[in-house]
Amino acid sequence: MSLIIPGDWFVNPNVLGEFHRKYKDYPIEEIRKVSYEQGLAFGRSVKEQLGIKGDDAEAIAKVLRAVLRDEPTAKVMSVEKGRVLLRNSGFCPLMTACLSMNLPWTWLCSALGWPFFHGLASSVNPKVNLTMTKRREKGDPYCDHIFEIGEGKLIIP
Amino acid sequence: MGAEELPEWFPYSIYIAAYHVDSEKELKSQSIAEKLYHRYGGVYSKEFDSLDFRLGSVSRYVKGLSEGDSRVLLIAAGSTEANKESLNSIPSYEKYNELVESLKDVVPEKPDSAYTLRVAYATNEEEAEDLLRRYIKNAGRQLRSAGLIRGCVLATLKEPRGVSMPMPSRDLMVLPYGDWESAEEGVWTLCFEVCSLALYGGEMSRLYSDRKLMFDQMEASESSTQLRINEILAEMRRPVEEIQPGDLEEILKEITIQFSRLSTLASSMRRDHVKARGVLRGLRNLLKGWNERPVAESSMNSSAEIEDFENLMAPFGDFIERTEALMAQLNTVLDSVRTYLGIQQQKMSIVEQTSSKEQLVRLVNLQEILHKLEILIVAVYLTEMAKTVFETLLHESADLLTTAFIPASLLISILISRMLHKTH
Repeated sequence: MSLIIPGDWFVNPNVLGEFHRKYKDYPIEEIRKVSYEQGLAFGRSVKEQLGIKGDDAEAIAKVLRAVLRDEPTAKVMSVEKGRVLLRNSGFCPLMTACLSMNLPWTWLCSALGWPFFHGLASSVNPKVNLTMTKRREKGDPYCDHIFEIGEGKLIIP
Repeated sequence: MGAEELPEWFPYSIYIAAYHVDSEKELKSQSIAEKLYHRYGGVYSKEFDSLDFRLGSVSRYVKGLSEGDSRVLLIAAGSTEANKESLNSIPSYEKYNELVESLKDVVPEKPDSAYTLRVAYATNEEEAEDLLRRYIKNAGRQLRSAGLIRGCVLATLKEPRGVSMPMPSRDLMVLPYGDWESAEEGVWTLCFEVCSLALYGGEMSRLYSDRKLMFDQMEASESSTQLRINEILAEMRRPVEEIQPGDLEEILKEITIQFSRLSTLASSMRRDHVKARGVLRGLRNLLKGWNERPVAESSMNSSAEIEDFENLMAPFGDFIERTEALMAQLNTVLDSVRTYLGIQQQKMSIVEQTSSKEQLVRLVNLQEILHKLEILIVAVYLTEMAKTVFETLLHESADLLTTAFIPASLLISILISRMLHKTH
């Protein structure tokens, strides 16, 4: 298992295609681990580059904003009481790439997207939980990612 | 390659399923008919990928058909001895259905399309129609469509209420009539026709289900993009001087991203739409070959199938239209940004022009001062030279002569300056 996922994977259809080709037959938990580690490493480098200090919700929001600064469909909606809400709506890059390259959208979100973002936030605080309260793959109008300090788990209700 | 011989027995229960395969993996694996041959024996044909075998009084037939990355599997169970007892009556399908079910464990779990056929034999067309009415009544089902094809009444039943079936899933009733031999041949021929129908059905169903999530998300994604377009347009309605070039740059970047994304979505969906149109074309050709005739007042199978396929194809076209409508709106925003940029550029160039005009006036004034200074310097120089000459020749009256020479030196200086500037 060795595929370096660049930080802009979500706007890079070639990376997504390569990721699917390489990991499609692996158990989902194993792939999530790889994606999480890649997000963690990328988050650490962003933190270092921008000199982001602290391990609270503000620091998590800063990392997320920095990574998603050029992405109009993803927005940090609120930062309050140790909780960050990241919302993804509209025609997201993953949706576009999946349609154009005939890739499974649900699988990519679950195996790559959410664990990667969990890894990003964990670079600020390893105890952060990511709960996917709303998911478009199950018919919600947008994806809500909630980052809260907890046990360091990815929760997909 | 010779034509395959049809089984010499009458099928009562048939299951046809179409599913997608990975061609590379499929090449390396055994076919389903071959697997079953190793389990049950019988007459296996590698060339036609078929197996005809018998268990007790029931005959069974399994056949695989391929088209690109799609496979169709036909499983049939029937009997050679049942002609008399089953004439103009609905046979008991239980034992045949059970045997078909027992073979389903070799079929992939989620087929793209599945067709279940039950067969009953009638002496003539009227008997066949009567048998169909009786079957529908006894089973408590409703008729969706029916027609006369290849010497058989083919009826499609509506899905029972509350039962969710894989898409598309069809429950068919086949009622051959006429002499026994031609009825038997008619049923088998129709089975293979339904296999082709299952192929098209599977392909269309797969195309649709692969994109279903996109279709479902269209409404929400469209609303959120529309909201953002409205926000940008509201921003653009601010006075020109309040909008900074940096803001316009941000807007331009966002619109470019959204525009390219919508363009990718529209063209990718157009590709799938073209594929779906190809499948529909194939289906139309197949159904045309059936030469179906109507039964009583029910709608024909071919029209019902085409309608279903068109309904599955419609969301592809709708998606394209909606993304293109958003693109048209983004183009309007882009035009507004361009207009704003043009106005700002014009304003900037007017300011620049005014400032360069003032600079020019200042430069001309400076030049005039320089000219005057030049005349004075030359006059001073001439006076000094004259003073030296006067002091040498007429020492006593040198001061007086020098003073008197000053106006002359000024005049000479002006003349020299004019001469010099004339040459430039």
